[in-house]
Amino acid sequence: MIRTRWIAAAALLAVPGAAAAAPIYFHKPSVAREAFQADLSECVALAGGVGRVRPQTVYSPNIYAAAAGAFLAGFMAAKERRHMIDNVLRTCMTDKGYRRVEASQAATASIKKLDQKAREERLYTLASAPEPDGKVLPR
Amino acid sequence: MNKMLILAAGAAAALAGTAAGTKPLTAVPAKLDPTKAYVLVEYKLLANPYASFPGSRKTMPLNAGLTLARYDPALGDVRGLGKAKDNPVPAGQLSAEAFRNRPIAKGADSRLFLLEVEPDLWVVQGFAATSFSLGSYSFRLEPGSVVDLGVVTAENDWAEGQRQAKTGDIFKMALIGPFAKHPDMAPMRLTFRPRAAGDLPVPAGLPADKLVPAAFTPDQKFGNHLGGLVNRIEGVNARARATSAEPPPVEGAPKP
Repeated sequence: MIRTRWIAAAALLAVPGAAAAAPIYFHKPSVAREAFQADLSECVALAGGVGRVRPQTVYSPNIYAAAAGAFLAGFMAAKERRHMIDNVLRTCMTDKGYRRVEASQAATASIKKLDQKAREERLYTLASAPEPDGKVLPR
Repeated sequence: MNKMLILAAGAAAALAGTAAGTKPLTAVPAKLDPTKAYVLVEYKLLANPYASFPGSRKTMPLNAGLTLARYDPALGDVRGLGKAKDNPVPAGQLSAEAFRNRPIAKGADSRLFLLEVEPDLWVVQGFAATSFSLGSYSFRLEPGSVVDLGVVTAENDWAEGQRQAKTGDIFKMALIGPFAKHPDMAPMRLTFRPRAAGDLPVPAGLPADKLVPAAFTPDQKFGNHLGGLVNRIEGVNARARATSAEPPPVEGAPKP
C-alpha cells in the first residue's frame, strides 16, 4: 500500500499541477530514502482524505443556462479540491522539514523522459541533494 | 475560509442528526450523570477581517468550532476509523462530537459551552474543516468529571507569502468570476490557555470538586477524516515562522 502511494506521489509531483506553472518537488538535504518515502506516503495519505467539494449551482428553468451553470460549478469545485490537496501536501511536508522547490527546466525535461521507476529514483536524488536544483519557494 | 466553514457546518449537521449520548447543554443539569463526562470550553470569537467595511460587525458569528473524537493512542487513530478501525466505539455511541452552536453562556466576544460526552480518551480532532492530523492534544475524561479545556482561540495559519483576501480582491473575483485568481486558503490553528479573570465564569451549579483542568498530551496523530485541510494544532506555518531566521518571502510567488 505504501509502495503504491509512493508511486502515486512521485507521479503527482512530476507533472505540473493545475495551480502551478512548473513542477514542484520537496527538498531536504541528505534525507534518507526510507524517511523520504515514509514522509511522502504519510502526506499523500492525508491529501487523499480531502473530500469531494460539492458544486454549488443556482436553479434555472432554462436547460442551457442550467447546463452552463453546472459545468462552471463543477469546474470550480474541482479547482477548489485541487487547491485543498496542494495545501495539505504543502503543510504536511513543511511540518517534516522540507522546502518546496520549483524544478529547473533541465530537471523537468530529464524527469519527463524517464519511466516510473527511474522517475522515483530521480525524484529521490533531487529531494536529497545537498543543494536544491531550482528556485526555492516560500514554505 | 467561508467554504471551509460551510463544509464544517454541513458535517456538524450530519453528525448532530445521529448524535446519541453526546450533547451540548444549555443549562447545568440538576444532577450530573455519573456515567457521563463533561467538557467545559470557552471560545474567543474570531475577529471579522472585513470589519472596516461600513456596517460590518467586529467579530464573526461562531458557526464552526471544535470537533472532539475518541482516540486510540496504541493504534494512532480515531476509534473506528483508519488505523483504529478494529477498535470502534460501542454500538449506539459516536466516535466524534462535532460542533453544535448551543452555548451555555454568552459574552461580548466569547461563548461558553458545556458538553456531555462518554468517558474515554479524547483528542481535539479539528476545528471547522481543518483536521489536526499532524499533531494534536489528547485528554482523558473520567466518568462523572467536568474537564475544563480552558479558553480556545482559533486563527488562520497562513503560509509564507499568503494572506486573507482583501475587500478589493473580493470585488475583483465578483467581476472576473471563475477566471479570477483563486484566493489563498489557510488551515486553522488553535491556542488553549487556562481560564483567568476576565473570562466567562464557570456556571453556577457545576460542583467545584468535580471540575479539573484538562491535562493535554501533545503530538497525537491520526488520519484526515474530516475531508478538509490538515495542520498541527499549534500551526505548522506559525511554528516555521517563529523558528525561521530567513527574510520574509515575496508575495505572489507560485503555489504548489
